[in-house]
Amino acid sequence: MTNGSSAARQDLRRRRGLSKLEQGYMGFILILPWLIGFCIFKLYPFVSSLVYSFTDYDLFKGVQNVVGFQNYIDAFTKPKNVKALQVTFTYAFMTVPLKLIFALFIAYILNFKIKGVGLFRTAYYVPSILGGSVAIAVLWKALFKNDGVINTILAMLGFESINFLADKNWALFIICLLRVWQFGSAMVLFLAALKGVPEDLYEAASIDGATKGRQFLSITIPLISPVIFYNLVTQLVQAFQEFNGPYIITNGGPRNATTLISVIVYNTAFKDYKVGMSSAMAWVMFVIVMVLTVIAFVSQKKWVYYSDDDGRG
Amino acid sequence: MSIIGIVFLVLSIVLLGLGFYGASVDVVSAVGLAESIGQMKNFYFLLGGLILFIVFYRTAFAKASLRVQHAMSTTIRYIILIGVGVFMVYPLLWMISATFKDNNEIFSTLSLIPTRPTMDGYKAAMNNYGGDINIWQAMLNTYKYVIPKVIFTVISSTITAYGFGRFRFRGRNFLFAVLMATLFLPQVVLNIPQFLMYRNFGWVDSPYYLALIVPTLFAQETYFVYMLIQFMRNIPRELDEAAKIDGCNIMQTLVLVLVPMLWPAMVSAGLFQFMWSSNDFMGPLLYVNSPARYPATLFVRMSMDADSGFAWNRVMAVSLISIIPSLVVFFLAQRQFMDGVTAGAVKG
Repeated sequence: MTNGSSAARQDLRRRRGLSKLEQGYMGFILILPWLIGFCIFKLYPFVSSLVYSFTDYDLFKGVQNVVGFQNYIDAFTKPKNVKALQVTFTYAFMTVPLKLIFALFIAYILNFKIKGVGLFRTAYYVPSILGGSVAIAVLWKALFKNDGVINTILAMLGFESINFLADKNWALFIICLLRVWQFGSAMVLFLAALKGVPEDLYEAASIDGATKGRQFLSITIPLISPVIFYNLVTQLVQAFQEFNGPYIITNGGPRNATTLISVIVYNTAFKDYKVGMSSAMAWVMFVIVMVLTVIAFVSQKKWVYYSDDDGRG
Repeated sequence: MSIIGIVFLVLSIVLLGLGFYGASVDVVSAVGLAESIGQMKNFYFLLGGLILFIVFYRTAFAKASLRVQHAMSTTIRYIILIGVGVFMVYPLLWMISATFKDNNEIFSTLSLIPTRPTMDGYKAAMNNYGGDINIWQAMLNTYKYVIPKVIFTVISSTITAYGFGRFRFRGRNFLFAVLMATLFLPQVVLNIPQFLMYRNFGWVDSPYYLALIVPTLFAQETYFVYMLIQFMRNIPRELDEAAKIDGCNIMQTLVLVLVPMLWPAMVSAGLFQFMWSSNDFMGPLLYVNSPARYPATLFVRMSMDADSGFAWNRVMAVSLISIIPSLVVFFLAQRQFMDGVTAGAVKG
């Protein structure tokens, strides 16, 4: 949109003052269903979960006592809960970088004039679209179980077999691998961004004698940084909420090695019926996710480059 | 050869040496360092060989003509792409082939072609569990809530996006900020109070899956609202204004002018909602209790718990059947999926 046409548009709107007022009223009516839904399905649960977190709310008996900060103290002192926090951080900081680096690497290669880009892109994208399903979690279990496919491969290559899902050093990594395997959607975004980097910048740089690696760091990364940022935030928020993988594949085991916060939140509320405690854990997670999101948003001024050309930035 | 090249050459020779040494060790009788080297021999061979290959590759082609260099790097790229492609696709192909294998064969070979093809897995998959539920009933149950969710999400999100994208009203900016904030609100914080609320409403284990469907009537899946707003920004406002001058009211403008333009984005939103709702596990886990109402996701997990250890061909057949509709939809509408992914994100 050029400046000229937007000025003309504003002018047009100014001349029809009355209809503008009517429009205003209608806009609110249009979003009213969303606003009502927001209050019932988002705002009320959000606030009440904070309130519950200060009580000993039981799933069947309701609130008996207000316990103050006791649930939060438990969240940071009970070994089981502390372990869940540790595991969640390990999981998120392992999964997100691996997934993004992999996605960027593959998108970078696909961005060279490769024949059959469409075919490769589809093959890489299928796991992303199916990966959240229970069927794929079941498949993952079949791949990594003690006598599973991966161990058959290891045996053929002459390695010792590894009981991945029962080994506390491996289990979390296998859960993480399931998410890394779904790098497709991040890759599609990176690929679209890479296609938007003007070719002539690379030409100019190589005339100046910049190597491929140098060009990648000084041209590609800054120009696609908005997409890196978007992927980083969305993947981080997602990783902290991971539930299906650990719940279905390892059920939190072995010895709580894959009990992420979301699993402990679910178990505390629906197996131990301690809604109050569970809400406190959920809030701890919410605060962590929020802090990380805010850090990402504040830091983006330092490293994210928005082109201001024609305001699409 | 550069200094770095020499360092890597030495490194690869050391690694290969360790590998050969490891191969000569008798793992059973050896102890300590020798034993662990013996166990790691394959690792040393692989890593050493890889580094040696890279060193040779770089020295051999550093002085080659540009054409040869170009051909070589293209080849390397294809090797990487195909290698990764195998890593992506093999598990899925293995899953398909496992459904046709008998249980003794499933984990004993890596071959994708069954030596004794059998339909036993599928036959077993058709059996009921305790009479209440079978795979077909579970599939039917899934689409009983997926299809309403898709339709309601698309309609309610489009209306909300229209309100935010095309109108100014008091409090618009504040409400828009609220909308954007819910994009980052983790569902886990909401699950428990939502469960308690739906329990009071009598929506838990409802035969009409009310707890899963009703929120979509209120455009609560913020991602789609955001995606549609982004898309709507690219439709010139002059179109709305022209429609208005021609006498269209607000809803007519939406339905007759904007919807045809927005259609690709609406289809994308619908497709993503279809995939996400079909895959959703947490929702049914919380709100569906009776086995007769189980959707495919819960049914697959139930069959895994019941069968794993002996009837993996049945488990794999059940799993595969449960994702076939999603696979078909994906292959029919790949283009819309790719466009949808990029439409919601920031424009570079």
